[in-house]
Amino acid sequence: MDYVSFIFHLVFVDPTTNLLVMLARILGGNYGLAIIAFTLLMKVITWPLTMSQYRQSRAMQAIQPRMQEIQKKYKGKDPKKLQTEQMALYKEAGVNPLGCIFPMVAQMPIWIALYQSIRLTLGDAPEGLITLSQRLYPIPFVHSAVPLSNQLLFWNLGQPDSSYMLVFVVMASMYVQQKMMTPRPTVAAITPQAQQQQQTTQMMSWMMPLMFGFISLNVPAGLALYWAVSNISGVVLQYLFMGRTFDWKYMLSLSPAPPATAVQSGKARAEARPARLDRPAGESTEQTGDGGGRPKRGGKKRR
Amino acid sequence: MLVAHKANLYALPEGSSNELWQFPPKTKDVYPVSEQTRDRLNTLVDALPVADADKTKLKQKVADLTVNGATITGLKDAVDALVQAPGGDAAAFKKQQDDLKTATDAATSFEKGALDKLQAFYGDFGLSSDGKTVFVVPFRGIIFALDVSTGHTRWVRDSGDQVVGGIAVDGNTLYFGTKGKHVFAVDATTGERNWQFDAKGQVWDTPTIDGDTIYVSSLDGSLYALDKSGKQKWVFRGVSSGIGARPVVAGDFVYIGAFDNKLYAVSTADGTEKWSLKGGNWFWATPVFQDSVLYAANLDGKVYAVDARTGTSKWAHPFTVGSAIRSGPVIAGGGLLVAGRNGHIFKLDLASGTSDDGGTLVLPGVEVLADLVKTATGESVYVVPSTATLYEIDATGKLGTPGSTPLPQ
Repeated sequence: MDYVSFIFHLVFVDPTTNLLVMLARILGGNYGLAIIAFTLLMKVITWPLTMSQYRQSRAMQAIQPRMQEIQKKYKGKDPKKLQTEQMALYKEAGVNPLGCIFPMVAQMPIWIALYQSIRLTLGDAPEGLITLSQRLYPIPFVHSAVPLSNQLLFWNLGQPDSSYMLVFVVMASMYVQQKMMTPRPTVAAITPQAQQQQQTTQMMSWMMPLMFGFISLNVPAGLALYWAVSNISGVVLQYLFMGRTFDWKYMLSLSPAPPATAVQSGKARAEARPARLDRPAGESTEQTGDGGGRPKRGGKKRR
Repeated sequence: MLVAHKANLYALPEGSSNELWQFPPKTKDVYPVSEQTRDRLNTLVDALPVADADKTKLKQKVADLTVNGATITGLKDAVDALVQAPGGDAAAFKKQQDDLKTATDAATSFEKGALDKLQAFYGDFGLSSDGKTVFVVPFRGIIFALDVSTGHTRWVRDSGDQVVGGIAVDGNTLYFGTKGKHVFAVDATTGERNWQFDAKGQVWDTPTIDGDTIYVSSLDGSLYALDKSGKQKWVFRGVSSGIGARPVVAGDFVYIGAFDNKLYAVSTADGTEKWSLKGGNWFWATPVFQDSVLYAANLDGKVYAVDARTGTSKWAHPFTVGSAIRSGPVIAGGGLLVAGRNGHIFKLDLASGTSDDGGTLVLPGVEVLADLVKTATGESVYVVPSTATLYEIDATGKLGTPGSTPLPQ
């Protein structure tokens, strides 16, 4: 266990700690600004993962009509065939069912490292500073930056956010991000399984913000600041890079699952293909009321 | 002799590790309220229009009053049972009774609360000039004046700030700095604040008093020289990082270790820098001065010996301990005793900075961060590591197996 901890510190915690201290030194000793800069830097570094997450999410959405059709056809009759057909569809669409989760899991070491770094860097008792002194790289620029101020506006970044403002921002921004990641279903859920899946998706868009809000209540405000900035920048980037096709009205709606608007036609289901998210905004796939996503104009379909 | 381990203080008789008393007390139901509270309550009792016999009984209740338990109710019941002397104002008497009960509740509640949330003791203790009272302040920032012989409280005050450093005593005044960026001067008899000085950064060290000057540093890298009315004489801002070590004054210079990895010599006259010495990490342990040589331990795990006048090295090379040194070294038994964080203790030759055979011992499985404490005879040294054990090391010859006593929690 000590060995694992040593490696984790060496690979994640120590570089994070030194980077934060260095950024704080560059930014006038302001640790809050250092966290914001660190977050944006991480956003850039993990951008390929984030893009992949967006693509997977949208592609999953795009194949839903065909998936429902397969479920309707084989569910309860031929489970083996159902599974084979589903996997074939995933393969055809280039979708990894766990692809949406991987980027989040991949960021977890960063969160844990950041949590430990904040506790280490903003420890307000002597023991913490002694430990910090042993973790800093022998670079005078870094070494002489300590101790750092733990204040940003009225937040003590080393303590949980007692004003609840950051907690609220984390929850709200994560809710918006979740909603953006799961575009509004525009087809009727034709099977109970599909209905359940839609409900699960909707529930997740609530559960995640609540979970992170609860965690934010109990961890240093610096980590909540990281999540808030990460979410907000994620929303902005998603809006800029993914095309401006979001249904803001739906995003702000409180209904757990939107009502079905139309019955999907066979033709539309047949046309349903994974969305090409790397396509320029003008060619973005548009979800229409009659079912599957189809190119707005002239998009090259992937088969 | 007092030693601290986390949030506990232990009073030990010289030459023995059997404790006289422990603070905070294990049982608050038998721990008396402070002398100051008893005096205040007795003043209220004296003012009551009741028979002298009743006052005597009531004062006995006050004398028996503890910070928690049945004695509080007993005192208040006795107050309620008082019979007013004939001819007095009944309403005024009722108010006096209520005031006494309110004062009892407020004092016991405050003092019990203060004992409940001590947090760790990091700094030095201050001893009154008559040696009868010791002044201690835990991280929580509550100052206690304790009777040296019993460990009972004479007075207790909340500074309102967290305190990392300790208390310096000069005559009837206590000086200490806080994380709230203040330096306070407090009356040693009453705990009343005389003045406060606002520093630019958090104050983590214990002030050092030399003549009519108070030297105190702060985490913004300032070293202040104050007069005893709290007025700034000069400030040295030549440090590019924080200062957490206690200043040492010798001759015309004040010496401070800093977080910019340097040890500084600053003129006591005007605060100008005389020399500085660079180490591999922070100088946090308080240096030791003897015979014009300054011995300073560094978090890089090395001990440096420098000529205090010139800053030039006295040893061929710094002595390497092998782990960070936060614990302040001491000179005892003719050598320099220094403890690494990993529990390795060394006795170094003052002239050469080497450790002979038998000049090393290992306290296994411990972390040593607190300053070493030299006994009054100068022949032994106490070490209080992270484990709740008190080690006593005989420093007169080779370092043998230390005596060890578990500290009750």
